[in-house]
Amino acid sequence: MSFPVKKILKGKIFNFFGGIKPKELKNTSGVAIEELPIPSILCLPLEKHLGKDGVILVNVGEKVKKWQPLTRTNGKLVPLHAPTSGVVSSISNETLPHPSGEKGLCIVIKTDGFDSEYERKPLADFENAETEELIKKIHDNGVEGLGGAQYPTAAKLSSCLQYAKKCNVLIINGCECEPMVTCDDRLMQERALDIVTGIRILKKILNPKITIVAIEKNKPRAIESMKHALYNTDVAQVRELPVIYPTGSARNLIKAVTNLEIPYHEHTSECGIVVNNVGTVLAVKEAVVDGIPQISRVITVDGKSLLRQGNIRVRFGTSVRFILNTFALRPEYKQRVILGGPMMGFTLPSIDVPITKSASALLCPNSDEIPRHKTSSNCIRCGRCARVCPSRLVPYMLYSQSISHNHAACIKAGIKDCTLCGACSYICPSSITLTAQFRYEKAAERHIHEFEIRNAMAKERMKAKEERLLREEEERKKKKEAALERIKAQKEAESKMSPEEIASLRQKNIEEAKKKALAKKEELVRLKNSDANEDSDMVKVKKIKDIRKRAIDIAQHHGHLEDDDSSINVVKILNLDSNYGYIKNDLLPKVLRRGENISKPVPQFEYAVKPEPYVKKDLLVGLEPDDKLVNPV
Amino acid sequence: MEIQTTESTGRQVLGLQNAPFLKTSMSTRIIMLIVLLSLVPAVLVQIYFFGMGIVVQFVICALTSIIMESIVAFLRKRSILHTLSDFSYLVTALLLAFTLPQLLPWYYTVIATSFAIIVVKSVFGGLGNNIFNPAMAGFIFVVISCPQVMTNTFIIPNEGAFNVANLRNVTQVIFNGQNPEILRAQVLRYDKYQYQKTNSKVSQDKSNINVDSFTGATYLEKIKSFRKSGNLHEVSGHSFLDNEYLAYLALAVAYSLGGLILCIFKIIIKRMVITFFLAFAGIQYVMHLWYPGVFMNVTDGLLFGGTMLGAFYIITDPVTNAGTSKGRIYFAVLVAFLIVMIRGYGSYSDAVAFAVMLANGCAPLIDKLTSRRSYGVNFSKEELHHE
Ligand code: SF4
Ligand code: SF4
Repeated sequence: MSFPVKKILKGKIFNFFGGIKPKELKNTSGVAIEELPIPSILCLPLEKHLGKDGVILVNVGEKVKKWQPLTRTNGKLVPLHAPTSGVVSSISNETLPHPSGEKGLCIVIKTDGFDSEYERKPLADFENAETEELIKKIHDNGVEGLGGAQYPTAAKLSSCLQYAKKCNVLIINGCECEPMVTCDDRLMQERALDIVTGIRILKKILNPKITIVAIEKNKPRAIESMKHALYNTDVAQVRELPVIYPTGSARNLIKAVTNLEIPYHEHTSECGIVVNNVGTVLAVKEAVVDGIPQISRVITVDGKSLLRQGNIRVRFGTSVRFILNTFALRPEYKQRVILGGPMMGFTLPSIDVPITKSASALLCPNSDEIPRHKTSSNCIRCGRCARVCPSRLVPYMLYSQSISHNHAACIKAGIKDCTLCGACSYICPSSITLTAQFRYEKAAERHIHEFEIRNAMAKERMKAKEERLLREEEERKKKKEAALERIKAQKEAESKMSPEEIASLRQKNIEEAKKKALAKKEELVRLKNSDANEDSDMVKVKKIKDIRKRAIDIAQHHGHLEDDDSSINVVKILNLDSNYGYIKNDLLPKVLRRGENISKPVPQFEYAVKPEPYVKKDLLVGLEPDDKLVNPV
Repeated sequence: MEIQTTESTGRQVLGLQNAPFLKTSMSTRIIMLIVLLSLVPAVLVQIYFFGMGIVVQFVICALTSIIMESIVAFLRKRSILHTLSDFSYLVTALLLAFTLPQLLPWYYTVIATSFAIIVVKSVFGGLGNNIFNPAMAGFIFVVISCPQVMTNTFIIPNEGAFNVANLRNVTQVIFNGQNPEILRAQVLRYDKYQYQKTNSKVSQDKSNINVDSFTGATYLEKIKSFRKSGNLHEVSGHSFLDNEYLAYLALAVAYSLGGLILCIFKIIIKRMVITFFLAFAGIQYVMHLWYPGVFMNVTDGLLFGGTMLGAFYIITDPVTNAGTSKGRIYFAVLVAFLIVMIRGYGSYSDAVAFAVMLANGCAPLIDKLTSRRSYGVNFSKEELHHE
């Protein structure tokens, strides 16, 4: 089976298995993209921009400019850039955009509103540039996939070049199969020419045999404008795909366009097929031609609970609250705020979270527009879910395995192939929350996997330690024997000598020992110095830790964080007995344990340190953060 | 000492929900309602040719099943309203009403329904967890426990039967223990063109009717002794446009109409029904050719007994057939095969219920054997880069 280039070029659209046809609800596709004003605070999560030996380049209180890099990374991860100018007000743990509302390390920038710019290096003549240079530019400007997975684009491109030797198909993904979301649609309508430039750059890097722009048929204006921009060029061909959810997911798109089923354990780019979202392509163009880092993205803001709807270009780090204020949220009781599309997004537990690269929409529907879920009833095994699953799974079987905590059976049944597309939950007549269960299952799976790795590593360490101890024991024994021997020999020698001779010999020995000790000490000092000079891993980690600790202190001082009350967590469980098993079976962390401990006896706790009654402290309200306190000169 | 959680600091004011937020409007309740409505033509045909018996039976079945479901829900500490909100028990009740004899005394019906709901369905965990089709199991329970009453309570169809077997007469038989033979005789003798004149007369000479001449109710029952002795081909032929047989043809049409509605709403898989018919016709035809003394011909096989009902409503029951689409096809073939065989050699007259039950038992095995291939299973990266 060589690559079916000719077949693909014919332009046939293939069917992929499954899929659903939900209501489209794309009522913002006619609203032009507007620029959101600069908010007063930007909060930039660091999790995808730091990595193992990443370095934070700025410190609290430092002035930053727009486009200035804030982190330095190694490997695949891309650096973070400041979306606007301002002052770094803290580096602290803030709430992340995550369904559980977890916290993570963020850089918080207090903006100054001047939007003053950092230097940039545009490269208009990309046709004559080296491939490496282009990829480096894309990497340094922090371009990541805007489709949802947030995979670094440069890494994708270079893995294609490295493993597949040459790229066969480059697919520009303009499907946007999620209902309600129209940001890619708008981009194609407004920035078609820039997107074509971006495609040219990608083509220059990859040199693909076929380039396809795939757009679903329900976007006639986008199709027209892309066709217009591509008119009379041989840059790419436009494919109009039928409107089926989830055409936009990479595997299904590849199946629809090339009739190849790439298994989920393979990387598509390593198979010579690169799929890039139109937003990403635009970012590539900006990164290379204009030298602008990726600091903003277009999102759709929709929902009947908002006074107006539209598409906006937001800077990363803008809080959801700011956007909702701009669009005048009129919340209903238990208003749902959905980050992402209505099929794959999630409800936010708090609106004080930043927008990141993976968010494509912000939806505030009311209950008429998107009804709330009904209580689920039993599965009637109707098989609808199996008929719509694009990954060819049998969701109801998977579900029954998953709710009985049979993780091994889940893996065997193919939970790893599940893309969490939500088609099965959509179609289920019994309103069973299949996808939610799978999301949970995947999290549990990941956790168990990590747990196993940790276990294995601990075992290895244990083994190494035992070996070391054994070795040391042996060495000590040898030393002891040698010493005994020496003493014996000395005694024998001494017995033959006169007392003066013995005294002079002792003197000499002492002097020798002194010299030795001095040399050792010097050696130690030298080692220590060299350690500090070299930027070793340990030192870097320590640096980050220090920065973090300091940031937390500052955040506490500013009232961003509650006081650290870790002392309360030190507890002793009183009624723990052998068959109780409260601790023993705790493979899963607390967020993942669900409904498990309903019938278990409630453990009795005794605090090691008695918690003090919580007293609300006066926070520093209304005061400007004083840089002199934070950053003494 | 009280446990204090230090995590939750405030009240959650935003609504939280799991993705996906969109859902189809097709819910279990609506599916069940569509199934019920699609059976309306068949009910009308039944009333026309067999009298009001089915209505009374359905009411008994439905009430019993509601009471039983409520009791079970109460015992299992589930919300009764939620349990009753899917109408699956009504579908079971209607299917039971179709399969049970029209004049069956009420306690038999109650027992059959209770058995279906409690033993067959709830004991296994309620809707969706049962292994056997509840309606069929309830029917078989009565057939096996009291075969005699099943044979003499079937009405032999006649056009306009609902005039004689009207609600009053039927309830007399079902609830007050009147001899069903009398009503059956009346239905059989009824001529719709003569009705106005003879109405008073018929009701008077009830006592004169020779009860014994009406045993051997349905056609399948009639031919039983013939096929047992291997002389089925000696039974004289009949046309389906004749009075007595017209009913079966009409019922078949009504069921097909219902089946069509289900197909349109994508509630049943077309392929499965078509496969069933093809397999059934094929097997029946071959067996009839080989052993004409034991197996009837294809049209008889299709139109008599519960074949049509089974094809559209029983084997397509999602809960008790195989899970995968491919498995469902095999399941249909298996049922077709079993129906033909049991009708040839079985000792009970009808075979659909038994065949379905047997196939239900095989469904998990079929599931195991027909697991679907996983995504991209034959893919090879190395071959792809081959020029
Ligand atoms: S769609 Fe729902 S009810 Fe039907 S088989 Fe799947 S999980 Fe069960
Ligand atoms: S969420 Fe997973 S199981 Fe459900 S349809 Fe999508 S891929 Fe299949």
